[in-house]
Amino acid sequence: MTGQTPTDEGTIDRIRTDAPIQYDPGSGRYAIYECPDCDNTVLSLGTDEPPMTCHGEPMVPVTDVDIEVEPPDLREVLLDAFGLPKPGLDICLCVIGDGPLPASDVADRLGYDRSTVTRYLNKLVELGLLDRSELNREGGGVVNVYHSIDLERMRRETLVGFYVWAGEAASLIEDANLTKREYLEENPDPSLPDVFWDSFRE
Amino acid sequence: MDDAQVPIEAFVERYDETDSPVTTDGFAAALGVPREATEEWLQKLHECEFAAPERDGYRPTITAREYLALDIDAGPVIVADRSPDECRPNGG
Repeated sequence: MTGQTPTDEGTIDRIRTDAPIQYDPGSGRYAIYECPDCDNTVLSLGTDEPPMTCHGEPMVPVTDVDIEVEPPDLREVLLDAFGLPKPGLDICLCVIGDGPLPASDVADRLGYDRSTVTRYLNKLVELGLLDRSELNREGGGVVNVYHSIDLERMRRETLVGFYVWAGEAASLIEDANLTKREYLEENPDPSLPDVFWDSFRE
Repeated sequence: MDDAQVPIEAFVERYDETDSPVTTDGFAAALGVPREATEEWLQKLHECEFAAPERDGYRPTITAREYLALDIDAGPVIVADRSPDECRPNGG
């Protein structure tokens, strides 16, 4: 289990108590492939039929991961990848399975101000996780009704969106590795002084 | 019928078929559910401005009919906010 201490609505101090991930390429949940001839590496959530190819040859499934990987936390993923903090996730989970609900009910259930609920409903619309329709009120004015988008579309949007984030994160790691390589080529001393890490502050 | 989901369409259909306000007891009998369920549903519809009191029951509002016209079949994820102004997106 993971202990979490919310510091504010945007961050979570995580007490890491989960065991590292044991990558299982046979689990069917996801798989990683690499090309034996270049550095192309691919993450796949679908089935590998027909197999992905690179340079005209099937990519090789990765079966061993030597570096320890911490299990992700859904709330941290949503915050890091989409900027969706805890209240936004709470609202998503609150309205699933019920409907319609007045915003005041959602606010009461979650212990948020109604303005907070409205703000995060609009955030969820901006992220593409909800749709908003403006309907006429009989007494004048309009009512904003927030409703689910097509589930398949939501699945695709969130997955592709996360892949974009993961690609950016992978690029950061690649850049860091290249920086380290360049530094070592210019400075053959195998020990890296603390000053090396100053390059990341730029 | 999933008791967790308020049957907006059934509510509007009942009103249109009977041409009379939808009552808690009548709605429960028509759907074959406990009275407590329809009492809660109608109250929720009223709070969300989908139902308006009429004589001894409720009638669908324009808002309810416009909602059904959207033909949303993506599930019951709905929150109806009454404010005409506070829901504008930040910065827009």
